[in-house]
Amino acid sequence: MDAPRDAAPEMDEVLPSSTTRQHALLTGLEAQPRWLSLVRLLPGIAAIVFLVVGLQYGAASFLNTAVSVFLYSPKSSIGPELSQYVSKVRQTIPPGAPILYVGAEPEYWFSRLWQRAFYPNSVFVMLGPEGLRSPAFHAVRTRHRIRYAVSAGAPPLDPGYKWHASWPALPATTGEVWFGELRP
Amino acid sequence: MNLRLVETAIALFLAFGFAAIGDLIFRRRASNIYEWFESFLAGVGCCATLLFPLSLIMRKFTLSTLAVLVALAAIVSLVNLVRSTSSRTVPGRVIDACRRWREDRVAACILLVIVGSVFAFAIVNLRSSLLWDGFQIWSTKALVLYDHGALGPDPLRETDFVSRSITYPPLIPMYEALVALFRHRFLYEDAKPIFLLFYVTMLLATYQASRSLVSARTALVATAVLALLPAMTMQTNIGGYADMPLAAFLVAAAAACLRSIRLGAGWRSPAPWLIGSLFAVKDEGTILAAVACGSILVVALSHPGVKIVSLLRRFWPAGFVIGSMLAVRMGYVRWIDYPDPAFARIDGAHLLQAIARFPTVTQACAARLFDLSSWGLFWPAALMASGVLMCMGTRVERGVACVTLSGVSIYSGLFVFTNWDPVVHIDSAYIRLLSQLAPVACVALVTGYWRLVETLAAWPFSTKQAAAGYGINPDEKY
Repeated sequence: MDAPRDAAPEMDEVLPSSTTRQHALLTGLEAQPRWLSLVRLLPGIAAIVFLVVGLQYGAASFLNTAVSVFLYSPKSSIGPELSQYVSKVRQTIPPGAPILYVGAEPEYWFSRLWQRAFYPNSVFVMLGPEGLRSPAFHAVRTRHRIRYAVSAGAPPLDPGYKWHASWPALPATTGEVWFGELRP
Repeated sequence: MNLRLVETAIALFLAFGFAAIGDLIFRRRASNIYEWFESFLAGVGCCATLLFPLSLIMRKFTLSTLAVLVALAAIVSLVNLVRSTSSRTVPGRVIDACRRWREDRVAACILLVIVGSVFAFAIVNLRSSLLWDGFQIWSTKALVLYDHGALGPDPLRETDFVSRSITYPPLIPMYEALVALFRHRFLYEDAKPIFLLFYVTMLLATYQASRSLVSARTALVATAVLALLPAMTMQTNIGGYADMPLAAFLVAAAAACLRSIRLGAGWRSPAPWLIGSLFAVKDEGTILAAVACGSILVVALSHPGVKIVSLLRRFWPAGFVIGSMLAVRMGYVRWIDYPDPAFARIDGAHLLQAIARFPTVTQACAARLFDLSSWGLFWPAALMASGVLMCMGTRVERGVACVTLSGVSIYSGLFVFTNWDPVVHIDSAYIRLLSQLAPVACVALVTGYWRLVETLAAWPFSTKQAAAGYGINPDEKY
């Protein structure tokens, strides 16, 4: 590059001209405003905040989940107690006979658990006192000729048992489980 | 704790079969572990898609026929693997990989974190019983499929045994039913090991997708971020839900699309098969496939001089694959003919209701996006990074951002049409929907971060760039 015409003569006398120009240019460019350097740090700061928050909440969440799984999670969805009740019921009812399940309260977990435990028997679910008072209850009983029922709760509802056996409640539930034959 | 070694071995054996089927489709032999998992996904997706037409033809013999085919494919694949191992190429490759990781200590540490997450998932997944949908929907469908041998109507329709989920796609139930078939019994938790395969695939695919855009170390960071998210490694993903497998398919499809840009995409490339397999995993797969295809079109059409006609001419075989898999899915939904109880029909009255729900839904979704215990600051960061990519990224990077942003928008908007109470529905489902997008959002996050760093470093211009512009070597001593 040619020397600029207005180069300071004293500098030209002290240093070679090309080196002078390089030095002047690089020094000028490096003297950028401080705010620009701070802006360039922002992504790094954001990444650190992201990692710190993530590790703090993530570690707690991981630990909570792992502890609750190891302490409270059943080993299988259909536990040994439910399997035992199902086999007792099957010893009593004719093969393939439909069953009525009566839950004391409206809920969607335990009723479906019983339904799946009895597969391939059909299990008709009625929940709460309203379920027993509904027209659907009598219609289902009549149409499918349901003779046997299981009810669960604290206390279990009586759908019109002729006789019933009482068993302890399943784990994580309260009350009792009744199984019996329905009055015609 | 039951380690379910037999069931794990069966799941792995079936995975070899699915991978062999995938290799057959792609007309290749998987040359590395990622290609193997990619073939596994394509194979299981293809088999799940074929389950419905086979059920119409072969009826109760469908599942057993599929089991025989997959088993034969697995045996052939394992024989080939033993032969290639005995030729001493695989141990050599492992030694080379270990040497590379030893040289990069930082990457090795990040890899250890990822491996630790995999172990944590494996153990907690095996110990945990099935959670709500995992038990009542997916495993119950698997029970019916195992018992009847084919897809069909609800066998206990009058008790609503599986009616509510009868239209749900069959991939997870199929895999679970095949494990039960080989095990000669159906126990609900027996098929838990299959979810470890999908989890590992999801992490590998996230790495692969990131690697197409950023350095190896940064891709590892993306994978580690994903693995350390509680919503991905714990919560419902240890309970037998299908969201994490769907996330694996989506990010694998993204990785395949990013690779296709360099290698070209015919009908035998992985991308269309992985996109088409989304239909077979969950109902939301249809939405994600539309988002993926839309983003691909946006990226392709943004290239100067590209016209729709030339795109159609080039990509119609891949489109035919996706269209065929969609047709099979729609055929099943029509055939089973059961109304969707979750979402309302889109008509005038429901549109007005949807508009009125907008503020409530927005607030509830925002609360879930900022759920620190599930996500930390992941979603705010990923959405900002996607915004950066839309403004400053390359066309391909904008495509990745498009998938993230449009996925989150569509999923959030769905809840204005729900038949449930919107807040209750969002509380129960939104985090799982977000988990389907999280791997792709991870890719957008790290890519957006580096794009921002590079852009800021070059703005207004860096010392080195300016010096280079003047023909000066800034490193020269003076």
